[in-house]
Amino acid sequence: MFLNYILPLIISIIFIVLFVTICTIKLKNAPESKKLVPVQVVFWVLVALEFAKIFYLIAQNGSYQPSRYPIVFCSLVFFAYPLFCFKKNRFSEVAKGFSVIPAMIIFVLFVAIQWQFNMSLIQGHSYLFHAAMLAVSIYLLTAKIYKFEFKKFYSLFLVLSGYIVFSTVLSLFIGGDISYFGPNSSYLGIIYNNFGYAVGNLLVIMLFFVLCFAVYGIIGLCQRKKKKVVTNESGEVKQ
Amino acid sequence: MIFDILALLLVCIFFPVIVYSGIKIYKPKSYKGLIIGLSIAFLCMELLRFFYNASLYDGGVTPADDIKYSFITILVIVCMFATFSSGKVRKLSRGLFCLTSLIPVVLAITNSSIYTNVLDTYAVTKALYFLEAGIVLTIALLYVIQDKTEFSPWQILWSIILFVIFVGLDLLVIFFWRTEAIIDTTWYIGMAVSVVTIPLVYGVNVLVNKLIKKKSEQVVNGQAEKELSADAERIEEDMPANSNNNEEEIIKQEENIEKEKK
Repeated sequence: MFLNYILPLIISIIFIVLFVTICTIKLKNAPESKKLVPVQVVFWVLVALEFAKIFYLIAQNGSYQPSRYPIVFCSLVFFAYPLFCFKKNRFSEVAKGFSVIPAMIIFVLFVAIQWQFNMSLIQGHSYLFHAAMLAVSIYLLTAKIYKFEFKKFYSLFLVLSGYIVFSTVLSLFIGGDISYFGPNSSYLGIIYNNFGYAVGNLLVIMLFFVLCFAVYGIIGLCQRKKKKVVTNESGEVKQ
Repeated sequence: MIFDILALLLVCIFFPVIVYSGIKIYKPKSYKGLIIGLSIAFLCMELLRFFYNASLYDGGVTPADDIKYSFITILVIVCMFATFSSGKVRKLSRGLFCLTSLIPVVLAITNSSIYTNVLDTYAVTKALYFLEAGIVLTIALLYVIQDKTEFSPWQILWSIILFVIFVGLDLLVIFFWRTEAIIDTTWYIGMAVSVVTIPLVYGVNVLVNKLIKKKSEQVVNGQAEKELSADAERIEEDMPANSNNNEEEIIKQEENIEKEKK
């Protein structure tokens, strides 16, 4: 248990804390383009890791399984990085949002079931992979590259639900399950087994809506309260 | 096999011709939109080819031998950089893309297993590969037309390095995945001919550029000669008329002076 679960988790957390602290402090006064350099580095590292994983697993299994495609939900987040870390465009803000909350969800879901498995090369790879994505998502917040605004929740919801629809269609087309949004899911299997695949997906989309609405809504409310307190204080000082 | 090659060649010839004739008819101001559209179509086709191939197996579990990856997969990535990046990366990747654009055709001719699947009764993956090869050539043509590109010898070297990386990757896949792919004379010939196509495309580009320059010079000279002759004709036409007018004016002025004296 300690070697298989707690130790890699501790190492991952140390890695995340170090990455976020060093990058945030070192690039505190840097322009945004320079602040995004660590994200670019992480992106290329993740590409290499993903490529190595695919290569290794195909060699090990002698086949390429749909659940190992680089478009499963876990691997998907880092595909959003190029949309904002190299060149800004109209999708940059959505991509940043997609790199924050989903990465956190993925890390939590990943950690939640890892105690069942023994440590292996692929396990180590997965810890590093998920930790790197979480580190980037926290760094985007601490470096103030991404700011929560309530209205941004809708674009994130659209992207997430778009992905669920896409993965569902693709899974049906291939005949295998490419994402964790399917009957074989370790997390959401109950929904799919009770309601059926398609209805289960509709429910998951609604679940995402509630989740995005709640997270962005709560943060938005907190920010409003903070603003009010600050304006009141400044008002008193002026009087 | 022969019919496959014939179909491949026909698609590769006709697809660029069809697109180019469309350009000649509609004369778009820039090819940017068209290039972006074709690049996205290229990416989608490669993904579709991969997924369709996977769908032929139970549960989508594709055996290592039948993963239809080839040089065209690398070209998709290069194409994304060539279309969507800017500056030096764009220039380099466009050069790489154009110079290596014939390789998918050569590899398909020498090794049909990169696009055929026995289970694919409707030949969808085959058709997609052929179409992709055609799109590659079309995009390369559009890059050259848009940028009026003249490749440098260094780009040949970079293209060869890219291809060598692919060959290394191919060998690694064969040995590491223990696929049933055979490294025989055909494999060597395929790779060798593919490398030869790089300087071949370069040579064609140089020749075409020279021809275009010659033509434009001829056109400029012809226009200059025409303009000169036209000017000369105008001067000749204007001269007598002017002289007549001047004479008349002088006569009129003399008459006026005489009248005033009187």
